[in-house]
Amino acid sequence: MTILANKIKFRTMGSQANPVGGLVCALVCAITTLCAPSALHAQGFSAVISPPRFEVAVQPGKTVRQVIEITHVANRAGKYRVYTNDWSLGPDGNAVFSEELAPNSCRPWVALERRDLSLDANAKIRFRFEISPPADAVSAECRFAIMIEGLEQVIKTEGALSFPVSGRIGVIVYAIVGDARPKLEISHAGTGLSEGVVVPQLQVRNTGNAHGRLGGFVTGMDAQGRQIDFVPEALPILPGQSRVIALIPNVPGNDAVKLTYPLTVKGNLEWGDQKTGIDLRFEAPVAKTAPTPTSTPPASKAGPPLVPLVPGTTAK
Amino acid sequence: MLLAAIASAAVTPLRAQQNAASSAILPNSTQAAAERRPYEDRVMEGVPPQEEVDLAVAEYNPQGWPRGISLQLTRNLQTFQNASGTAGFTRTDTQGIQIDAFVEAPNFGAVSLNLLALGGRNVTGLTSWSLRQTGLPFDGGWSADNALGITNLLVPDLARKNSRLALPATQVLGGSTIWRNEGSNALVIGASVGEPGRFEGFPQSRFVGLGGQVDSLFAQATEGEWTAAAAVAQGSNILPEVAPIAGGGVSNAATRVSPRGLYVGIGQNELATGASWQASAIGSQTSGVNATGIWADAIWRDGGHNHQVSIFRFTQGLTWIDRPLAADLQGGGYRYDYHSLRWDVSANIESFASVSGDSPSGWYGSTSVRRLITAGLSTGGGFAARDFGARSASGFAYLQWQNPLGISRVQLDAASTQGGPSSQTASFDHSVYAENGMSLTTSLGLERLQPAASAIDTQRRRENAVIVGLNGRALLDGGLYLLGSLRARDVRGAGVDSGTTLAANVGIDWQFSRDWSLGASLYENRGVLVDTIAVQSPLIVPEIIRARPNDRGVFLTLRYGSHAGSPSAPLGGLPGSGSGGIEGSVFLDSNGNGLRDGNESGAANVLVTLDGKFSTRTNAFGGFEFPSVVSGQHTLSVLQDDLPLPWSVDTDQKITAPISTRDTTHIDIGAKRMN
Repeated sequence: MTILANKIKFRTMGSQANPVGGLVCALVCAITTLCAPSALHAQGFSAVISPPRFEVAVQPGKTVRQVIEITHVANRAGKYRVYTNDWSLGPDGNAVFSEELAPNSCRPWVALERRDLSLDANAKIRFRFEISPPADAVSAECRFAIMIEGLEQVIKTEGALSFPVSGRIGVIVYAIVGDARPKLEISHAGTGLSEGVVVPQLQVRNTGNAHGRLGGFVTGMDAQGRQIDFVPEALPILPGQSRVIALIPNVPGNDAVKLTYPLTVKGNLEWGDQKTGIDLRFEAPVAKTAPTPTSTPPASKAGPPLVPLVPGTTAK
Repeated sequence: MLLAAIASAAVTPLRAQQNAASSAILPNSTQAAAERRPYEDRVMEGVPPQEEVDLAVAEYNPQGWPRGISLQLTRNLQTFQNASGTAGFTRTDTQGIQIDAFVEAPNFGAVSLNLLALGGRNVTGLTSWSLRQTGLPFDGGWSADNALGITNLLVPDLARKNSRLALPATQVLGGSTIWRNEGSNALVIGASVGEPGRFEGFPQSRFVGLGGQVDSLFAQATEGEWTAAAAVAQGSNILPEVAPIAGGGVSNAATRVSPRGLYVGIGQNELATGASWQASAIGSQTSGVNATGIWADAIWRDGGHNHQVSIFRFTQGLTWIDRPLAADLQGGGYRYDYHSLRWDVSANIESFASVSGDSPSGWYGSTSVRRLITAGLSTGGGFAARDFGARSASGFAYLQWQNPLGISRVQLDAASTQGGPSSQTASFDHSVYAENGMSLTTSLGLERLQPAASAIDTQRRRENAVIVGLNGRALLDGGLYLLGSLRARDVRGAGVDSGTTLAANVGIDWQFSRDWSLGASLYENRGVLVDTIAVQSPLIVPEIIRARPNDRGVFLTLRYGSHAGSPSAPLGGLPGSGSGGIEGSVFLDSNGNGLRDGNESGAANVLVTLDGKFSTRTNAFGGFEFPSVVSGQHTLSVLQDDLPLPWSVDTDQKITAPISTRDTTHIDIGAKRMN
């Protein structure tokens, strides 16, 4: 008797890394198992990569060197290929990777320690890479990804079909060259769905020349007079792009969040060493979702359209 | 569904569900795409080629049960002076071996062995060991954990839910067993016996027996929201501990006793609201002194607001076998906590009175607040006071902020006892943003102490000290870890302990092959180590603790670790589940009596299915086998089409197969001739 049970897992651990420090891990697993009732034989690979994201600064004509910790979490040795990719944010807010050299790509400034790795079982290494913008480089943000790909492909057979199974991890790198910096502006406000809850949303435009990410927190007062803290989604907003950022309620305890509108929100939102004050009133969402106007950049979540802010009532 | 997952992984375009645009988990690119890649990355200059890994040598052995062994050889060289600094130096040379091994045997749980043997010059040879078996499955949902060697005097969990009023679990050299039947209605029964003792030694602590014997027996039952527990324990010819001494150590009385103890408790968890309450009672008899104690507490929450109230009454001489408990005290307390994004607030107030009237009454209160001002800026503070024999108070305030260099924190601390010592400290701590794999924290402090009057310092002369601290670690190339810390305290003033105090250590850890690593560390303590105690407990008087270590040492460790095997799960269960086997046959029941008679032949190549999920085929003699099936009731079915005509099995008849743990069930399935 033979019983087949196959599993494939791709998952991540951790969240956003501290801009420079912090130990946040990304884990990718491609595990294939073939088990019989009396024994289970596991083979494949999985690696822990730390950190999952770099945000560094470098001056033109200088070189900055960084280190990725790669832990090969497996009971047998494994091989990896390491290479760079360009990436951008797609219309749905997801990252889209490209092996082709994109226009104005800064990957030619990047050098890797090596292109191939062989790691012992459960071995950890420090993999170095460096960024060397030329002396005449203009202030801008150099963005690329370092791809770490397991080469130990396992051929799985299910019936008459066979599949190659493997996986790779992309480590995002943001390198500020010169004095590039983000400049975020809140252009629209409205409401939308986030995990089943209608929450306030902001449309944020980046008119700077480096990516920005809203931080900090603001305080809201809902129709029942409850005071609720909100934190903005920590999503990157690339230069020249607009993005819808939800304000996520942070309620003490494990109580389910149910906001009642109208809702007023006040406080400072921060990015880097900059901040902006907001003082907004969010009305009750309409029962029927209206289509998103084409003039408004696409929102990532369902909900009524964001409305332009009246000058003088938003940013302080 | 699984098939779909595999196919999806193979064909998904290069796009990741990656909201934060941090690391992305992506499907593999195809070989063809790799060949088309137009850009080849530059390689850093001056980087030596990586040493090739011998994939054949590094192969993991997945065969057999999961098993592992870790072996440590240690050698510790230490030189130290006695606490007063009056005697000469003593040198010790301790050699040790530590073995930790485990094996997970299906149906017998995980068995582990821990062994530590130490000996050497100026060292008392000692061996500490324990042999444990955990998760031993039985039928009916029962499982057992057994231990021999160093274990604990067992008490029910309910008696340890309140951290302030918890029954101690004394370490013993003996044996223990716990039987569990877990579920919504759970029952746990445990018993233990052994010689009480405690762990001593640095850096490897070993068990030191104190003689005598202690026994305990407990049971805890849970039904729905309700839990009840009871425990009995007794000691025979043991040395009881006296009350904890300042600084956290313990000592033992000189007279041996044979105490007895009884515990009963009941509690309710309101699952819907998260509220709970419990009440416990304890009785003890030591050296003819009978004592009792009762305590109860209730916890409820309101959003982010958490409340707890407690009441208690302990008569004089209360103990739990060898450990003293709070005695001659009665009173109550209230605790409040609130946690939100911006605020962390806690407050606690307790009131005490003597049961006998022979001791003073008093109270203790504490509060602390943390306020997040912006994402990178927070502040907070706290205050605690007690009035129980002596009045004491302490407080602190801090400001913490992120800056381009890291995270910085300024803190002020002050503590004072009426007629006793007082201290004030200002400190600046900074955690440096460091490269991945590195960390560095620094500390600078100014301290002012005024000790209590003593025989050697009747004038209570003040000490002014400067404290500097460093702590860091670095992961270097070649699997080498470097870590170290330094704390220096320099006293200038009229105090009795002027001079410089140094506490430093540095170490490396080198993984030089897959299975082997080497560790080495050096440490040195010199001068007078001073620790100031703030008001942290209603019963402990804040004071200035001084230790005068003058010691240094080198610790060397050679480690070997290896593991092999793979976990196995029985059919229908998880790894570790109790299981048994099914064997039997499908036969042609010529006479229809339901039994396989000697002249009745088996039906070959018939598909037999277990629980509608797992299948096998009969062999040439009609035999089939499911060698590992999770314990419990199962059903078998036979594919009619595989039976030779005109034979068939009654499909309406459910073939049940009860499986017992570590047993094999035999089932013969008779096919009948169709009319």
